[in-house]
Amino acid sequence: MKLMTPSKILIVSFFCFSALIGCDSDDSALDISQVDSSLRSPDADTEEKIKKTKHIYYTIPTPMETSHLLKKAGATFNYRFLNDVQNLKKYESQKSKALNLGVYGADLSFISIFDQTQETMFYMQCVKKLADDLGITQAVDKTTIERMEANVENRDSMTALISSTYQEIDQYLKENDREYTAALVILGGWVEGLYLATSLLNESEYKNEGIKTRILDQRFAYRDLKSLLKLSLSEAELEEIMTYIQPIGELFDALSETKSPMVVQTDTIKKKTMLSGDNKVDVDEKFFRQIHEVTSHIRDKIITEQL
Amino acid sequence: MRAIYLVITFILLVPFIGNTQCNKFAKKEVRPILDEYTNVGKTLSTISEPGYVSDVMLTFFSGLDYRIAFGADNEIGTSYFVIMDTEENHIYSSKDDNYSKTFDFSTQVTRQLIVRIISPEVYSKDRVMGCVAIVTGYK
Repeated sequence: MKLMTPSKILIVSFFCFSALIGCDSDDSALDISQVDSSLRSPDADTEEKIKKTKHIYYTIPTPMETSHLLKKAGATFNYRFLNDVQNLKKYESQKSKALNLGVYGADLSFISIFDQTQETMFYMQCVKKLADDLGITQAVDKTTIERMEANVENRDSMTALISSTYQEIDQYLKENDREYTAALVILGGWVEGLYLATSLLNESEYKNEGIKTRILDQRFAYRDLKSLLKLSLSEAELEEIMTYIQPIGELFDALSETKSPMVVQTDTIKKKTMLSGDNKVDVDEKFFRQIHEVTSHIRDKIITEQL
Repeated sequence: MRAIYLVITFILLVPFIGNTQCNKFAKKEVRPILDEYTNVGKTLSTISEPGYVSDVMLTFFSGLDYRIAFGADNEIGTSYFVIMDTEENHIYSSKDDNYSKTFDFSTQVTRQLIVRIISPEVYSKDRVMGCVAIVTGYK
């Protein structure tokens, strides 16, 4: 694919302006190394160039990935944890629509992973309605809905379509300089994912170790989210959004973590790499109860239009 | 006056046209490299030029197999990608792997990694720009 040359862009600009104004092989195939600061560092010359021209981007785990991990952890589907589709009509402000687009998007991912075909279409309609109201019709168009209806029994196709729709919404908002709206959608989706995880753990009476691991994993998502918001929002917007998620962040930030060195093990025949090494997090049941309580409180405010 | 308007319009439109084109590039040229891996929805697509470096911070979960797929326009030279931990210690470089377009891996514990896209300096009389993209998938 060729990018437009500057001269072509200039021509387009002119017309726009005018119109407008796992490893089981034998050891011989393994390449093993321990990662430390002296290993495989870039040379000084490259380092200097990097400093001059580096651009940094952040992205957070998508609701689909989180839902998939929850299912793998042994979670079972529970309809009562989802945001009721009847709540849709309550959302009148643009802010509330954006936050709940994220919430319904996360619910949609969760439902599709658990093969709840009928509910999938209900929640997709909620996503479409909010996307239309926010002027993102392009990302969730009639064709997307038709393709979903045609593939409703095929989980792989549905998950691919939902992931792609989520990405289209995010890209559309960013391409159109609507970073604040994009941030609200991401925030709503992340809070809902964490709410589902903590509710499922609560339901297991805090016994499901797999779900506990996935909740702890969200500390990385919180850090990424913070960095992403810092890069894309104004100071006032950032301050407003951080007040919503600060209580969750404080709980994650208070965790004590011990890391062991990473070992990189590559199966050169299968061309697959395993990154080994342990991370120990000092945590007790009180933490999980607190994070459930705090997340439920924020999520409740989002779905009842109090934010 | 008209020239000034044109220059301003040009400046305003370059990032928009570029990012839209690069998103299409990621979708059309890089996403198919994921093969049987499900697109995670975490994509970096951006304009690059010789001498440019772009970093994206990504979280990868234990219990999933991941593929990082990479693509770049040929116009900007032989771009490649490097995987590093958060302290920038190198784990993998596609340059040392015959400029491979994929990196398949799994991780014992959930961790954050930096994916760095490097477009090396090349001599050229004209300014050259092109798209680079990273798309991640899991199974």
